[in-house]
This record gives sequence, structure tokens and C-alpha cells, in this order.
Amino acid sequence: MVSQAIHMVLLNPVCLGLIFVGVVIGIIFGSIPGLSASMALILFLPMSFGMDPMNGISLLVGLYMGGISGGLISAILLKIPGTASSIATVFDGGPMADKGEAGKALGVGILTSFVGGLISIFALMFISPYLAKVTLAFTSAEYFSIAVFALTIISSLSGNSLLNGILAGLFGIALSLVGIAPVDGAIRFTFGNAKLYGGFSTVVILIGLYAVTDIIRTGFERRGILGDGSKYNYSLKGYGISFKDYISHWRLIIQSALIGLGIGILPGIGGSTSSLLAYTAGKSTSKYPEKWGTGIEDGVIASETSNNAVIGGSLIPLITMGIPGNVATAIFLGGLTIHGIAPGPLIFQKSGQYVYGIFIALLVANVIMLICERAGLRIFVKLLDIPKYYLLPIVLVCCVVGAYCANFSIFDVWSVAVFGLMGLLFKYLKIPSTPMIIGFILGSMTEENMRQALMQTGGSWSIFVTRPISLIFLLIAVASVCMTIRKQVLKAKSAKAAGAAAKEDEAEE
Amino acid sequence: MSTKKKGLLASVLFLAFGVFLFVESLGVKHMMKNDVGSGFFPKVIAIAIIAVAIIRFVAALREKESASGDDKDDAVGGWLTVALVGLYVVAFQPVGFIISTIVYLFLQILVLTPKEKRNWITISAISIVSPFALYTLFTHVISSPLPKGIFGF
Amino acid sequence: MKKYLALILALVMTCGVLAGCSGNGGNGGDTAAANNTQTTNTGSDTGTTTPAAATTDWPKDNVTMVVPYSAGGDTDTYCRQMCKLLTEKLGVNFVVVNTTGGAGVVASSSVMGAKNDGYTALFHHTGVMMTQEAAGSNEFSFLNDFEVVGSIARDDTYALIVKSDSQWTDLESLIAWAKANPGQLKYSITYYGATHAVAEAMEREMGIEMNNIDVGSSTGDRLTAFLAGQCDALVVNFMNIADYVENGDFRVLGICAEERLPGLEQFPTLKEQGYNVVQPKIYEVRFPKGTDQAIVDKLSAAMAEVAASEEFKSVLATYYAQPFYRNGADSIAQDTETVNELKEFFAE
Repeated sequence: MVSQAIHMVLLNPVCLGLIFVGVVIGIIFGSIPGLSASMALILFLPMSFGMDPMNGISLLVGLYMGGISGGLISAILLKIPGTASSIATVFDGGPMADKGEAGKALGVGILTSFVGGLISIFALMFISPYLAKVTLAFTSAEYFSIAVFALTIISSLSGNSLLNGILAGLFGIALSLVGIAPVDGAIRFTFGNAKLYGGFSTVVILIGLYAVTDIIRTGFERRGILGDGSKYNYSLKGYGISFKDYISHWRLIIQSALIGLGIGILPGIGGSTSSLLAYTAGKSTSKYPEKWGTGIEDGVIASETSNNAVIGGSLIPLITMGIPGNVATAIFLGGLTIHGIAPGPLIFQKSGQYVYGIFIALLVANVIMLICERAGLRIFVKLLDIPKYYLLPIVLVCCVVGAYCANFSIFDVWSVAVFGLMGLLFKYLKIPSTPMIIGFILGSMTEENMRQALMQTGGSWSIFVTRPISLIFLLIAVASVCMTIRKQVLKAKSAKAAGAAAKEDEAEE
Repeated sequence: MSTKKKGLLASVLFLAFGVFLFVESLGVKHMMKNDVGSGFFPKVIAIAIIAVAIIRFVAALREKESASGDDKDDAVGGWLTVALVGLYVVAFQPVGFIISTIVYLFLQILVLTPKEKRNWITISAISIVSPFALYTLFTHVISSPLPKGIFGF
Repeated sequence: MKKYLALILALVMTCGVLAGCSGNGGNGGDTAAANNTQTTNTGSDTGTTTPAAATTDWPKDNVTMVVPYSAGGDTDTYCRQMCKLLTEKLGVNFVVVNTTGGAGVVASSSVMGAKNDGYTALFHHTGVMMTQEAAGSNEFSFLNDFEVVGSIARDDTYALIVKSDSQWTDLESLIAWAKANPGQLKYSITYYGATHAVAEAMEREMGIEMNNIDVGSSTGDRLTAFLAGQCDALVVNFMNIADYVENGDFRVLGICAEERLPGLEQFPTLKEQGYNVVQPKIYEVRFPKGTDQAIVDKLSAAMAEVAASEEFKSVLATYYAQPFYRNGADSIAQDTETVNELKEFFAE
């Protein structure tokens, strides 16, 4: 069966060509904010129906791989995450670009995407039946606890004011409540507007808070738009990082890949949470956490390794159990079904050659992704040479089109502008907006799983602490909150001491 | 506005929002007997917002006045951009993608470009070519229809 | 915002008149007209007052078919297949757009508010539509507030399953257990979805009371929860579990169909076992209210041809579904019956 698969994929130029086309188109979709890997898949799904099964599936594999990894380009160069999975890439990738290290940030991101993807593909190939069982150990209670743990990331991303960050996070959660409620389908906070039944979509909030706020801020600061006139040299050798330096991050790489793989296996959580978790975990286990967010490669490595590791992870429940964990894998499932390949416990017996074909296609797509993005890097960084006053308006138009095409709703376009203004107000009041996005992404996951778990027990909250995995996540969450509070208190004390010292100095003079 | 006043304003705004959320949550119907209901979680969040906002208010009161440095802002450029983005999204559907985008791009680039850098030919070229390129790409290549507006294109 | 909208609209329309432009073009991208006032504004402009003629030059432009679910699922696949064949038949592109959210309500209301010029339509199935209609959970009616074009396919493959290692070997043992332990049998429900209607019918027909819990709304979530033992009984489309049944992991207790299905003859229906639990999903197409009858008829006729084609049939067969055409009037009549039956359930 393996030889059959090699024959169908590796020795078939048409198939290799389709993977290449898929990866390139996927990268484009991933890099434009608003367009996403799943949109690329939807678009090419009907085309794949007409193809030979292995060719069609390989095209989809390429699109999925390219679409997920393309997000890092706009995250680093424009500081607008191309997909929700790249939010955490902005934290350090953006400051790196500001320092003139855009090329290096991209190089490291591309290389680490490849490594993250590779680790997850190997996991998929060799240990997926064991990992699939892990999925079943996670019930609503565990999902709830993971969400609570992930929410604690807000405290470490709040910058100077923890209270402002928490308020923004809570506000994000409140936004996620709008529309038809999970579980009982109650309609809430829609104020009679049917357009709000589906709630707000993440892409709309992302584009509003990043792209629109950005262009308006530029308007307020237009006198400084020409910058200091100094041109950076973005060209770089290799991937901008020596092999030795990259390997020195091995602990971070493996940790982030495992987080991505784990989140990928669990249906319904998604790449955005995984990169945020990997970033927080990386920061809290780092020897120099204070440097995170100032533009160090560690942040890019954590985020991009984990979001690409989601790819292999999310295919594990799909292939072994027929369970799609996100929109992209659901479309993938549609593509397989139409070719008569039914994912599930019997897929290896029934369509083994295709499963091995998918594995090989994934490996090939991963390599093509690495080569294409490295080759394109030279072109990507050219974006930064375009004057901001031309670039930003065009980016905004692309974003608005992306927001519209995500759900073909004009209401989403209006919402983008409203969230842009909200981002402006937040900036003015010195409230960080990233916690709001995190709160929004995790809000519905928290509520839905909390209610489902309580239904299981008939309303008893003990389920969250009697189930061991759930308890562990809650304990880590509590520990992480305590640590942040302690740090804040220490910081306040030292600031006070410094202030007092300064006063004494004045008095002496 | 000083950072202290901003802190006070922010806490008051969030406090008001928290109260509003709580009051709205009271109106959410409880539909199933074995569920905590769709009003429960919003109430928890509303109470949390109110509590944190009050703490923030007290913290802001104890802060010292310090300049926040937004007096350097170019109000004209900023508010013109706000107005342009607002008009653009409102016109997006009724006027259609192409015309609204041409007008928006032209005016927006004009607002952002410093006087000495204004090059009418480049600005016109960018604002006319990019909408048509995007429109062709979306409607014909990736078959995602964009709003056509009243002129049928 | 509405004020500005009206202002700009008025302004632009005046310009249009001045320029001698009739502004009559079809609006294919118009999937979500902003609100009713806007629809009436632009309505005057499209000449919908012309009496229904037997012939129409529709379609001249791309037709947008809105699907309320994300791509890759059954509804999306059937719709894409239908659109592909309609594109071949009618010579213009039938473009599928996925507008998700709110259990289909977002897509439905966006089509309801779109221009009634025949260039925006809704592709949705009765399993959800009629349950919502009967429960009265929406502020609009799927039967009265749309022009129903007709149906294209039906899927009767809802199967009631338990795990093979569970204590229930057949339907009777499950019912007996449920009777002995009222309110204990954990059943995966999605409120106002098709599984809700099945739950109501099962409880009534079998005389049992189940513990209806939510373990997620997507098939993936529900299947995971079932495998993990979070619920005891599951009603799900057969194609999602075909492998598990073949592998001996799951046991099918009955299919929610009128009679045994082609390709699935080995599985008894719930009806033949004495419990009238039938839950078909019939896929229907709807235009916004007030669409020209000639357009409705033309699309309906084309759909009849699609339903009769071999190609359509073979795609549906991979999902154990069948082509099923009926015209608009028949669809409304039969759907109304379904709704009335469901209403009785919900009333109890």
C-alpha cells in the first residue's frame, strides 16, 4: 500500500504540481487578512471533485498547509494577523520588524513552521491511533478548564495595567455572548436585530481592531508618516538564524509543537488558542520573560511552531475517527467523502493507499511550503518599501473585502468599522485590545463547556475538580494568576521605592 | 487628558457597561430545567466587570496626574480618516464595491500623504487600478461575488 | 447609520437618473440587503411591478445560493452538486456562499431581506426549518415569508444508535431500561434542530422520558461525546457512522424513515418496530418573498431536471440520500402538515 501511495503522489508529476499550486494559493489566502485556509479549501473543493481522488486530495492538502502557514507574513510585516492562528506571532514579530529585523522574523517563522508541521505529521503517521484515544479523555469539563487556563494568558499580556487587561478580556467575553446562545438556543443581546443572531465573527473583530484602528491612528499621526527616513536592509542569508542558534531553542520548539499537536487533536479548539497557549507557556518557562513582546525570536518560534503543529494534530481525529475538529478539516472530510473515502476506524483497511498518500502529500507540501516561502521572502519584505500612505489604504480595502467574503454579510463590513472605532477608544484610554480578542475567542468555549459539563452532573460543580485532567488545568490556571499578581505587587513596591528614592535625591539637592 | 482622568473615564465606562450587561442578562429566559440557563454566564461576567471596574476606579483615584502625550495628535487627519472609513463601509453595498473603493482610496491616500509627496498620477492610478484588480480577482477567479451597486458593476 | 444610508442612496440614485442610467442590472452579490426600507427603496428601481409572464429572460447574471452551514457537510455538498448542474443547464454561474451562524437563522434572514430579483436564494433543509417553524423560535416563517421554489433531495438516514458494548442489545431493551429509569437515558440533543424533533417523537411514541443533554451541535462534537460515553443514545446521519457500524462498535436500533432505505436494507426502521418516529431532511430552495413567479417556475423546472439526472443521483448515493423533487406548492402543502404534527408534540 505504501508503494502504491508513493506511486500515486511522489512519482506523479500532476500530483506534485497540484500540491505546489495548492501551497502557493494557500499562502496567498493565509497572508491576506480576512481570507483564510478554509476559504481556499471551499473554493477548490468542487474542482477537486472532478479530479482523480489522490490528485484532488493532494490539492486540498497543499491548500491547508499553505493557508495555515501564510498567516505569519502579514502578522510580521503589517502587524495584522492574516489568520486568527497568527495573533501570537504579532506579539514579537511586529516589534522585530520595527527593529529592522523583518527578514529574520520571517525566516525564523518559516523555518519553525516547517519544523512544527513536520513533528505533527510524524505524530500523525506513527502514533495517531494512540493519540486518538486521548481525544476521548477530554470531555466538557476538561474543555472548560483548558479555556479557563487559556484565559489566564490575559494577565501576562496586559502590559502595564493588569486591571485594564482584565477589563478588556471580560469585555471580549461579553461580546462573545451576543447571538443565539449555546445549548438552549436562547436569543440574547441582539436587540431585535436578526443580523446579530450569529454573533460577531473573529475575523471581523481582528480586522477592526488591527487594520482599521491602525489606519485611523496613522491618520492622527500622519505628520510622522515619513518615518526617520532610514532604510533597513532586510536581506538575509539562510533563514536569518544559524542552525546552532535555532537548535538552542529546542526545548521551546518541542514544547510548542506538543501544545499545537495536543490542541489540534482536541476537536473544536483551534489554532488561535494553540499559538496563544504556546506563547504563554514559552514566556512563563523562559529565562528572560521580560524580553518577550519586545521583539525576540522566541515569541515567533513559540507561536508559529504550534500553529503549524495543529495541522497534523487536527487530521488525527479526522482520519482515525471521522471527526472533523475545525472548519478546514470539515471541508477536507467533504473532499474525502465525495471520492468514496470514508474516514473512520476502517479507513486503513478500506482506503489504506489513500491514507499513506495523504501522509506523503503532507510531507511534500511541508517541504514546498518551506521552499516557496523562503524564495518569496525577498518579495514579501518589499511590502515594507511601499510608502505607508499607499500601503495602508490598500490593505484596509483588502481587509474589508475579506471581512465581507468570510460570510457575505454587509453587516460584518459595518461591524469592522465599529470595532475599529472601539479600538481607537481603547488606545486612547490606554486599554490593551489583545486581551479583548482572547476573551472573545475563548468566551463561547468557556460558557458552552461549562453548561454541558453541569448538565452531565445535574448541576454539581464538583465535576471540574474531581476529574484529574480538569483539576490539573485549573490548578495551573490558579498558579499562573497568583504569579502574575505577585509580580505586579513587587513591581508596584519597587516603583514606590524608586519614587521615594527620587524624592530624597531632590531633597538633597 | 491626563492618564489619571483616562483611568477614571475607562473605569466609569466599564462600570456602566457591566451594569447594562447585568440588567440585560436578567431578561434572558431560562428554558431548560437541567441547565443553568443562558443568563447565568452573562451575569457572572457582568458582576466581574463591575467588581474590576470599581477596583480600577479606586486605583485611578490614587494615581498621580501625568501627561499622556496625545496633544501631538493631528486631529484633522485622524477624524477625516474616521469619516472616510465610515462612509466607505456605508456606501460599500448600495454604491457598489468598485465606485466606493475608487473614491475611498483616492481620498484616503490624499489624507495620509504629506503635501510635498502628493503625486496625482500615482494616487489616481492606485485608486483606479486596485479596485478593478480586486474585483476581477474575487468575482471571476475565486467566484466570491462582491456588491455591484446601482450601476450594475 | 440608516440616515446616511438613505442619503447616499438618494444621492447616488439621482446621479444615476441624471446620467440616464436605468440601473437595472441584476445584483448577484446582494446577499444581505441592509434592511426593509432599503429593499423597498431599491425595489422601485428594478421593475418588479411587471406582471408575471409565462417566459422570463432570467437568469442573465450569476445566481447566489446561500447555504446556512459551513462547507463540506451534507447540505453544502448537495447544494454544490445541484448548482454545478444548474450552471450547465441555465448557462449562468450558480455560486454557493456559506453563511453560518444562529442555527441557520442568519442565512435565512439574510436571504429574506435580499432583493427579490431572482439572483439570491436559500438552500436549507426541512429537518431544521420545520422544527423551528413549529417551535415558533423565529420571528419569521419559512412557509409564508419566502417564495418556495421546490425540493431537490431527501435524506432519511437518521439512525438511532447505541454503543455495542452497552447493555442495550435492541430497541426493546433500551425502552424497557428507559421506562425503569425515567429521566436517566442520556440523549444528545440540539435545541430547535432535527434531533430535538426526534427526541419529542421518541418520548411520546415510546412512552419514555429521557435526559436530553447538549454535548455539542456539530456532528463531530456529538460523535466524540458519544464515543467518550458522555451520552448513551445518539441520532445521527448514517454516513457519519457507517464505518463504526461495520466495525461492530455501534449498534443501529432503528432508522427514522418511513421504510427501509436502498443500500441500508439490513437496518429496520423505527416505524416498522411500532414507533412512528420519522425524521426526513428534505432539501428545499427558497427565494425572497415577491420574486417573479416566472422565475420561480423556471428554476423549479430546472431543478426537476437536475433531480432526474444520473449524475446527481450518484453523488447523493455516497451519502445514502436520494433525489427528491417536488414543486413549490407541494412542498408548502406537505411541510405545513409536518409543522402541524410537530406543533402537537411541542404543545404537550
